[in-house]
Amino acid sequence: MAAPESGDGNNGAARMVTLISSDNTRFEVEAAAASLSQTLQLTILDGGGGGGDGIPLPNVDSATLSKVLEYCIKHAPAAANGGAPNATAVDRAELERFDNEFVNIDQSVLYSLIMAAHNLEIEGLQSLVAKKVADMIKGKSPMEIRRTLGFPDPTPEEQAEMNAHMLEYGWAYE
Amino acid sequence: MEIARPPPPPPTAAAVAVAAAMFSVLGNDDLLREILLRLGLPTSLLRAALVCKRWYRHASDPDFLRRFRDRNPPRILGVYLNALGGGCPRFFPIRPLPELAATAHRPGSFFDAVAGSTAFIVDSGGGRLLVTAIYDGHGYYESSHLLCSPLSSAGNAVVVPPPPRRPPVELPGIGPEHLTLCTSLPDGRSWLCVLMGFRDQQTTVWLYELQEMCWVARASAAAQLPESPTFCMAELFDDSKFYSLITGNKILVCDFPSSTISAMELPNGVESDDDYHSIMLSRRDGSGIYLIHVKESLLRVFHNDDAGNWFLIRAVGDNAKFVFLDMFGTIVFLDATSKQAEKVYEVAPDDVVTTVHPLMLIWPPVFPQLKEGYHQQD
Repeated sequence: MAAPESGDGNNGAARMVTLISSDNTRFEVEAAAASLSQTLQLTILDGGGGGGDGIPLPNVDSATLSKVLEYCIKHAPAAANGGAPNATAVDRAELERFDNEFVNIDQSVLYSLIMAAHNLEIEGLQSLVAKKVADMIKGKSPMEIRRTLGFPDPTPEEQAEMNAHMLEYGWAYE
Repeated sequence: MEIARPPPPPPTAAAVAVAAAMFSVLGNDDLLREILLRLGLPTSLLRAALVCKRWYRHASDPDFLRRFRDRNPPRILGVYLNALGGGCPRFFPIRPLPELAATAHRPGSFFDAVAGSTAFIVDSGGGRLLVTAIYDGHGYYESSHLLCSPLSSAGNAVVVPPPPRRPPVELPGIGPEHLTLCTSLPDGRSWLCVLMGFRDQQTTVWLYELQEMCWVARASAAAQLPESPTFCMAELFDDSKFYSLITGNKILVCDFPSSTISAMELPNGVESDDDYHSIMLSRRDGSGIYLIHVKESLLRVFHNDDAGNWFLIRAVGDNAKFVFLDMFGTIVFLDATSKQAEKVYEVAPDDVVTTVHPLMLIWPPVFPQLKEGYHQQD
């Protein structure tokens, strides 16, 4: 990603912007990829992030930001096609494969990604990570959901009421 | 604070960090809703609602439920087939999901309890059925009408009064040729009955609703039609209208708020065959209806606008999203969205399937009543 500082892409090279993580790591990335973030889009349209300035992102650490940018770089071409209505089935399948692989990560990374996608307003990524958490919950009992997500154990009274509801609404819980 | 229980092992630093990250995500109302929205099945949503009080509040919120339904349209579990003659309806699952295996098992054994007697399904709505059971009452046949919920664990069946057979007012000349139809609104919670009577050129339609175990007259409509309708083979409601396919290739539209009846032309090139099996009507969200027409190997779906124009559509919306076809003695399920077909049942030579009644997963989900103080902490 060591593209030359070439102004606003007048010479044909894609315009680059610099993003600065909370731990002061600088990431240089194509403006088109960073613009997947609704939050960054306006700043970038106004010419921000170029040259030596860089856009500080005090809520996103470098590990998370590098993961976020991996997503943006992969999805930027399709997004530039207006949601890629004319994308081939192969392209779509490739993006889907990438997405599935992308969220195959530790829960701590997943939660950081969710917060980053939310703060940066990256719609596709927000949807992808929310779906991943939903998939972790699907088909599980309330107790299993709590364990999966690391909730504290319920008190015996709470547990008893949970069990009672599960009997009463058996059709939903078996 | 828990005192009696042994203290859990001290969490590792990594576990503490994950827990902190988890609470910042799931503690955010917007993020929590986005996650719950993607659970797919209402059964998963119901389970998630019991995780804690806050989740319950979000999952059962009416605005949230509307969004959930838009994203996850009601799912078909299977289909009941009514057979000609004696016996009970038989159930066939459609595209079973492993998560729903236990739920989908119930409708299959629902009629086992009355095996040997005769029962048929009048109509299905959502996860419920209106059933007529016929049994031998010492030399003569008696029938009873039951509202059944084959998905509930108790296998609920409630006896309801028989649908009205006579109009609320005696009209000379309206004889035994009047006709009763029962149907359900899509949620399966409102059951309606339509009584149609003809005299001379006058057609009158009465609408009843099942309320507190009584059929209550709700509205009526009347019109002078150029010809008396002699058949109605397809029927349905949207919120306030009743549609019926009648002779002469017209659709009778009863509008109850305005008490009017009108006749609507079929789309160009669409004609019903002699036994009225080539045209189906289907409810459509919002207003209007879908008309499904089968001619030889061509299946077309139309929808209408308020002015009575018909449009051929390619993308089928929420409602007419599947059809059942009888193709050369095989009942076939056709998903209109994915255009995939699936064989449901091959009708044996000595067997006749009269009607087909889809069973849907219950919507909206019925949330349990919570006790005060349930899972206050989170």
